[in-house]
Amino acid sequence: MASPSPATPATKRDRRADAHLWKLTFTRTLIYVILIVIVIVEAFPLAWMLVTAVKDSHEIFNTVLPTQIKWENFPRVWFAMNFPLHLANSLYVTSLTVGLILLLATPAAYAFARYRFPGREVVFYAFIGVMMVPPQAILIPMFQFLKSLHMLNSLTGLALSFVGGGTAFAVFLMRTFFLSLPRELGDAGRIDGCNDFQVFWYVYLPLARPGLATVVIIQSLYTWNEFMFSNTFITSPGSKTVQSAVFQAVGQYSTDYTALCSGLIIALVPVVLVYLALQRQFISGLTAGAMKG
Amino acid sequence: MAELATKPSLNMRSLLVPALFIAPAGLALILLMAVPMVDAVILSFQNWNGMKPPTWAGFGNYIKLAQDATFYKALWHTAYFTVWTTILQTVLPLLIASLLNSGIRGSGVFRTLYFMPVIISLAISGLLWAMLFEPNFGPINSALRALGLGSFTQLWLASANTVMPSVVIVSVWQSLGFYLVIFFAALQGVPRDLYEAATIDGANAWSRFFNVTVPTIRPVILFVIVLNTINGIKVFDQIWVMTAGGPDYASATLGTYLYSIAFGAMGASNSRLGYATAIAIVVLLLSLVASMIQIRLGRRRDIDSQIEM
Amino acid sequence: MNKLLMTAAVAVIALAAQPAQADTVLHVLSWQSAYVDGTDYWKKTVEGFEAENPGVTVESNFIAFSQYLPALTAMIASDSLPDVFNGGTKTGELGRSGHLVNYKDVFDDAFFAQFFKGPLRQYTFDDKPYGLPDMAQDFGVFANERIMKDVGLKMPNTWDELIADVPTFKAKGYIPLAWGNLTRNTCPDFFLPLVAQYGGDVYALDDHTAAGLSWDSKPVVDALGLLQRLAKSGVFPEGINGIDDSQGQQLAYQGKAAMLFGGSWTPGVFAANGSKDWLDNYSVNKVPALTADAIHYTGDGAGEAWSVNADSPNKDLAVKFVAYIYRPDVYNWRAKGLQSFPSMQSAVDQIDNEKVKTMISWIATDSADHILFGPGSWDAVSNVCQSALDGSITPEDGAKKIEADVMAARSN
Repeated sequence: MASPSPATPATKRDRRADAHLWKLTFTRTLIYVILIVIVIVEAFPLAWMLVTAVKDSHEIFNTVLPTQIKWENFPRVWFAMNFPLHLANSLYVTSLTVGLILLLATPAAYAFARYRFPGREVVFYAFIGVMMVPPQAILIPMFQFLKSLHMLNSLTGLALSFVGGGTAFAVFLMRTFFLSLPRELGDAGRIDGCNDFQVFWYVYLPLARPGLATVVIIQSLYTWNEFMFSNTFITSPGSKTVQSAVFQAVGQYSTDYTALCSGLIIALVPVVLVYLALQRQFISGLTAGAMKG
Repeated sequence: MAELATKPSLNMRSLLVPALFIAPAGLALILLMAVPMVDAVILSFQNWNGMKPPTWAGFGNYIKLAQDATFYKALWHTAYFTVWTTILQTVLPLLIASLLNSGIRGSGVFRTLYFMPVIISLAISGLLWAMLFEPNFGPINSALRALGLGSFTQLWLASANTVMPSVVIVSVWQSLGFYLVIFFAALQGVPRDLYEAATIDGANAWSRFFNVTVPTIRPVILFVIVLNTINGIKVFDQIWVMTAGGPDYASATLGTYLYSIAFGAMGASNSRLGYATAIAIVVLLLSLVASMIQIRLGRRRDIDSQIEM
Repeated sequence: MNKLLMTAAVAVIALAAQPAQADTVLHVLSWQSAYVDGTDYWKKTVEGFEAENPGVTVESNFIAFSQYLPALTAMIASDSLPDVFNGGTKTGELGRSGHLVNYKDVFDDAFFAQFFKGPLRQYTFDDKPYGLPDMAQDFGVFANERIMKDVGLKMPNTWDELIADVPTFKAKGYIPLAWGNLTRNTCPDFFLPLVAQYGGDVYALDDHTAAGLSWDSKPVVDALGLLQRLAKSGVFPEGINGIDDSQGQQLAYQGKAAMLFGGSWTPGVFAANGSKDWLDNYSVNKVPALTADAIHYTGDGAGEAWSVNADSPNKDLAVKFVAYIYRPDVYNWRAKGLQSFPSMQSAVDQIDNEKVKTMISWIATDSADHILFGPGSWDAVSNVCQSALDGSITPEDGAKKIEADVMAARSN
């Protein structure tokens, strides 16, 4: 944003354009400064985690930067904690949970958005109600329930314990998404001879892909990171998910911060990849869904 | 609805089709959640420590709740947390999203960077912040001292006066990126010509924001407010990991208080499961009422785009 | 290709079938990650037991401490306790409600005589031992002698001396005595022995059945008063309720604190994480006493103890496992590996760490109870401890609050 050359004598109009440009430059700079300050605030804790991961375990608060970078913390944690196994466990639980939720929630969300039927409000609020249950309140009932299914210490059981609440949230989100799609599409499909199911499957579902991506991201994040259920329902070391395995570094009286931080960073990689892969869809999904909130 | 409006009256078909669509989810919810939830409701009318058979308490737990000073403290902290996070996590992301949407370069990079804290689990961010908040040599107080702002150092989680603001800060830090992405997406959907028309009418940036942006994306704002409210009333993980509701209940919310009654802060030997569940029922009712009010208020104000529900 | 797939399928089925044909599985659960991490001594223990009992597989399970008691509560509530496990502070209530094996029924007096008295007594309720202590613990003050020399002070023998020394430490920029109370575990460890210093009986208080004995009695008020006096005079780090144990240790490692309060397991933690300056210079001392010739009361107990689920179909096998892991030769592997305070007297010579040895030697004269098992006691004490430290409650009101909270917790 170069300002006009000062050599030419400025006319009145030039000066106004000049002032306008200055104002624009100033505003732009201000915006960038604000945005960068926020980046610093948002990134500081994460940067700190990264630095801690490669520090010596006794200099955590001592120095801003590590005196020597210990990359070996990563392989140490990788092998000591048997990461491949736990990553596979988490992957299984997350994909099963997310898959089931998509399967269950999509048609229901569609029906809440597209059809008018008696009792719709009541059923819908029952769904929302499930979303509001504090998980710690049903920890014990859920434990008893899984026990009755013989699914304690089972990754499938753990996934099932997430499906209820997850489905409710997905219905809430996807319903608003389906609402935003023009209903003329359905009418057109019907004229072409589609039945209700075909209208859903061939007309609306392809358009709903961003909505599905949104559910996938949010639910994957939640399931991958979940801590309370996975720690309580899974006790055998071989079946632990990544998050609870990493927490072995947090002892009763002392914490191995370097192991914790490097373990967490390894555990974050798959989620970051999922986010990067889906973010484009995710953003359009959230808009469309939210517009009719 | 268009395709059904032509039909003269209700018939089996109009009920059967949606029922078929909803049945799988409904069944899953009943199978997976109804049993534990009904169990929880029954439990709230019982006294049970998990070891001996439960005894019937009637409304005893609820009556005790009404007389429990710590419960009111937790209720107040929950309200404090919910109100502040809902305000900050709606206003800040909206403003920043507007900045990002002002046509600057690199907004995608900023969005991705802002989203990174969202990816971390609540439990982990709690641990991370407990380290950052360390009062003597923790990174935050050290940074403040290094910047010559030594007088702004705080005890953060250690003091009853600063612990609630501290947990609000952590929540805002973590959620900013999430709501920002939602708002950014919504802003991109606002037709450009609306802004151009306003600019021609001589509106400045602020008045464009309030007269064009806010009304157009009001449904999104409502969505964010409802989500924030539900999450605020339920808040548990981060606070539990950072302070376990301490020091001495100074950061206890309904979520952490019910947990410490059910399971003990770190070492209680007796679980009062019935009493804890009664608090959970209060949490559930509060969120349900709050979000119903919000949804209804939002609908009435915005009749045109909200004919659906 | 098809053949390959077939072979693979057969192999998978064969692998999957293996656990099915196996044997009795004994489920063991603790919050000690050392017992699932594949440490040599635990592996050797498990394999040794399996070799002596063909057809038996021992499955070691783990839950992080922060989630351990909630998970245990869920297991209790749905009758799915493991066969052998650490009951923690729930041991007393679990035993009294009939869920745990009373070891008196299966072991003789000679067996019990092998243990240090304090930790064993701690897990004995109504004369019935429901848990066997794994590692014992007491507490001390670790001092950085380089810093002590730098400020020209000796390790204080009484609390008053410590308070008088504060300005000298502060003048050189040192925190006098570091520890952390964010997770609330440590304050009761620090505070309850003080009750003993003032002549209180912590176990009787915890039990709370003796006539006329309550938490708002004088020794408790006095101990809270001392705790508050120490905090107010700047003995502890600022914002101690916002520092966790690991952070307290970091303050010591980095030469920012002159002394560190810690347990007999901490020298092991130092060895793994400590800085060179700390490891080269730290000494171990009894916690200060009230007067020059008073008893120091350094704590005496055990955090982890093994209990056997009385309702388990494998109960006899579980008892056999417990007997095995406390066979002196087997216990020695663990003691040597953990280098902490052993609960069995015969294992003391397995400890090479001089600092731990010193701490073990105190138990004969300075033992004091510091773990609470009664319903609600631990929470009540740890909450008031936090308030006493930050000065938001007076000692008298604090003692009354402990009493009221304990009574409320026991009301149903």
